[in-house]
Amino acid sequence: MLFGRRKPGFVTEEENPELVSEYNEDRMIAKQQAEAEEKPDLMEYLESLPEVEDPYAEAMAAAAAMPQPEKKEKTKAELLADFIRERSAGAMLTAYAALAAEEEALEALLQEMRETESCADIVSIKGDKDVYYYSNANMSDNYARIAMLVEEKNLPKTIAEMVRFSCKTYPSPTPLDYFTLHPYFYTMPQIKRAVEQFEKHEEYADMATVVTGNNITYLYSKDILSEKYAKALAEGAEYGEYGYRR
Amino acid sequence: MSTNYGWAGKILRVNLTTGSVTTEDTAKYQDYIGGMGLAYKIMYDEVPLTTKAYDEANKIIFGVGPLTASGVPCSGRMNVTTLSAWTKGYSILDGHMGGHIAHNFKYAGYDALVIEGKAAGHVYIKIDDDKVTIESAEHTWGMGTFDTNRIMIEENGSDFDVVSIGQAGENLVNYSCMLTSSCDSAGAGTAAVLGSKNVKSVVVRGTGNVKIANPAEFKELCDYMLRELIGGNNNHNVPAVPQSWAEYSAPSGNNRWAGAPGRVWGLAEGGPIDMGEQPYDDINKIAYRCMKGQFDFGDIAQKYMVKVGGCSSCPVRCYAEYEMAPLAEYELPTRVSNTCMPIIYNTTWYPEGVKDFVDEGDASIIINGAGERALDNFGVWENYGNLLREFNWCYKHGVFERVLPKEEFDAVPWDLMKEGNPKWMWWIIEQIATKKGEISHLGDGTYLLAERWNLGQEFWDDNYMQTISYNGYPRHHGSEDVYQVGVLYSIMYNRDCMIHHMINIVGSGCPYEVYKKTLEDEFGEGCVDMPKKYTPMNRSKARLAKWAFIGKQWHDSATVCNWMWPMTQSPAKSRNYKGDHDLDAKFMSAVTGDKWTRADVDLASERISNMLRVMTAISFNINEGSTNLREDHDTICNWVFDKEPEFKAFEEGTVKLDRADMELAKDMFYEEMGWDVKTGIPTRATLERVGLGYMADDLAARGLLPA
Repeated sequence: MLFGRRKPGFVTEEENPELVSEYNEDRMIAKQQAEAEEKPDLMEYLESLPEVEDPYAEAMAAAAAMPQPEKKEKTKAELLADFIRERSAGAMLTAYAALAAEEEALEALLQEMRETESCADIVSIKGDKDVYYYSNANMSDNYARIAMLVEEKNLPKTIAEMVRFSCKTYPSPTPLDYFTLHPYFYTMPQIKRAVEQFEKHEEYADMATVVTGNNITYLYSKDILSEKYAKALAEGAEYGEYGYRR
Repeated sequence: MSTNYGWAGKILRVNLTTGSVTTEDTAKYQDYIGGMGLAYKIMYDEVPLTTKAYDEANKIIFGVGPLTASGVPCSGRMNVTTLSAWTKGYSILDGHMGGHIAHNFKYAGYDALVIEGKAAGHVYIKIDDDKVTIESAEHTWGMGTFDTNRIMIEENGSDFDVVSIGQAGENLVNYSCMLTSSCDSAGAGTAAVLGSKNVKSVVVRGTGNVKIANPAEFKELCDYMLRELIGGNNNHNVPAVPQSWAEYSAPSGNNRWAGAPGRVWGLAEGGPIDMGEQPYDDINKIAYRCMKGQFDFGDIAQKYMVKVGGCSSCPVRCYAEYEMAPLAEYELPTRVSNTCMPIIYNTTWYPEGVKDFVDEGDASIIINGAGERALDNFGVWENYGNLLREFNWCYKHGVFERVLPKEEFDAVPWDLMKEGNPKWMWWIIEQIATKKGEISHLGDGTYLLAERWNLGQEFWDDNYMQTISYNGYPRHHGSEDVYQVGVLYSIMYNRDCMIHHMINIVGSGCPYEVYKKTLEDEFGEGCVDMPKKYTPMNRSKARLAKWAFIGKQWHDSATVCNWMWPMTQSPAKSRNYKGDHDLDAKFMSAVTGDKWTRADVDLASERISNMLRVMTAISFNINEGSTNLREDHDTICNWVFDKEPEFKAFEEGTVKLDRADMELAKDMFYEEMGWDVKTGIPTRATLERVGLGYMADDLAARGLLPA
């Protein structure tokens, strides 16, 4: 049954006792259980089958006997690239500082990696505090930028940069609670505190807010969107098929 | 056509008056593909358009197509065609349902089921491969759809699929739908036509298969589609929330690819399941993308979500399945599921607002859960929200005080509504389904209700109502999403258009410049506008509108899901996010073994679109005395032009349209379609080009063929 057992009181129709006794769910379950018990155990059944000759045995043996190409040991640069790739696949950047703590000759190693063709997917992004490495085969460039901003923990800058990016790219204003989502996971008090900083710093002078009819605050950049347009876009995002989503 | 491949090869006819069960070869309908197209041909040939919906002479046709159940991803669609009982002109229309019944029907060996006549008693039709019988349904008549479907499965076996009508269909309520699977339904009043024939259910078991002409090629296409083209629900091609593999994500944090790290099915068996990341080329995680409950209700959905469900052959699983414990206190079903209007709009039944149940902000999800079960149980269709808006509008405008007899008005449990009690919906929906009292005329449909209760021009032209056309149905992603283009295809049918071609793109969260390039490459410069920043009509937009309009007919004939197809966009950066509009033709070639091109698909789609248009012209002539579809059918309610008074048309930030520009849009669209600009009726040249010369002769004989 798709919706579980029927609870009494769901419908007002009188039940037909004859029908219920004839076609009730317990009867169905009992029938299914009986059928299941009649089925033989699969492993027992397989073991009971007669042995047959494996037609591929010879070919498999020949393949196993063939000389295998010698595995080339990976260089240290290639191993570093693998390490960065794995972290990228797990949505993590790899900070220069963290590598430097582990590897004394890091610069030389990075140079070697840059010169190795098979490591071409390893690229870097520079933040205010560090340089971060990632594989652009496993992580998008834009996500790397988000991850870098999140890593550096400058919330006003992170929010402002992403708001500008969205205004320019989609175009769209950004709801405050967008930054509660992966990978930001900021709390609303953190976000509100960061937004309060906008008024105090000239570098965020373009940041502005509009509020939708369902009282959701959106951020936008005045340099990119007009207030009227930003408001219209925000309303459009909040208003679903036929009403506010929340 | 190679009916050995793709098509099942047979059409099943059940005549309820005579009790005869016959089959015929599908081959003679080869030009009409299947589903909608095949049904239109049968209806045109066999049912005079003077017939009324509930006449014994009317027929109802369940149809699938060559791609249905072939294994093509998202091909679990079944089309249901009959005559309208509730829209101006009373012409031909379709309902559509997903679930699993389309597959079982095809496996039973049929491309269509034509139900004719009227049974003497209440019956259900049992299809067990080639054994087809008419069985008594006296024991389920009067029951809701869930109980009926359960009993049908218990009686016939768990390998059957079933579709049933509820009390609304039995009582010939125009706003009725039939239910299959968990909550998949075909609406538009099709259930009442089944009810008029005394048919409660159709049960089907098919043990056959669909033959594929080129299995290796077919497998490659399936892999290609799943690895490179398919996105989330509505084929949204970027995730709602940033994921490490994705360059873009929806800037509002909300679209129909809502699965994200940290978002869970809270009540999953064995404990909560986190959706995690779903890289676009990891086909094993496609089902974690949609998480429709999150899209509909936000974070609160996670508390009640058990899992996601969906149709056969579909990896997207757009049906959120919930266990809503708070409903137990009201002795209402707690297990609910749906994906569209029945589960997202029920707060509209409460004009004075709703109240939270357990947690802050949970009113909407709980009320919607209860409302969904009520609507689907009684088999009440809501005309894409119009039923609920009509109730809300009438309440707020004092209509009930005016039209209900005092005794009835006083007996309405308004207190349940005012206190936000979910039982209110069960009460009013049952009234509608069982035609109890004057209030039940809410189920008549917009067009007839407006006349009966004399609701006036104010009712039609109210922006709140969203009724797009004076024929009695609402917009379905119209001007608010794609301006002139959305309105053009919203007014082409005899019900809401159900076209998702454009909302799938503009609502995807993908950057405008990205999807603009994809569309302009095919339809020309200026075909798609920026969000809330539209430009005057142009020829490219007319081409775009034609593509969306005729494409819908393809989906309902082939059949494939209109929410997922066509594959316009891709989540793959390596493809510049561009999908593949040739994929339908590629699948047709692989499945049928015949060489299909995009041009072939388009020609067939145009043929079926023109059949719709011709039959609409004939119905409007018969029932409304009209000789001009442009003036009498393709009407647009005034709110489209008068909304947002603070804006002028074309101003940045508005979706308000301009009347003269919209008339130009009709000119250009008719020209693209090959229709007479003055009347909007297909010309002989067009009809002959698409193989419908006989329809041109018919129009000429009726004095309707443009000069």
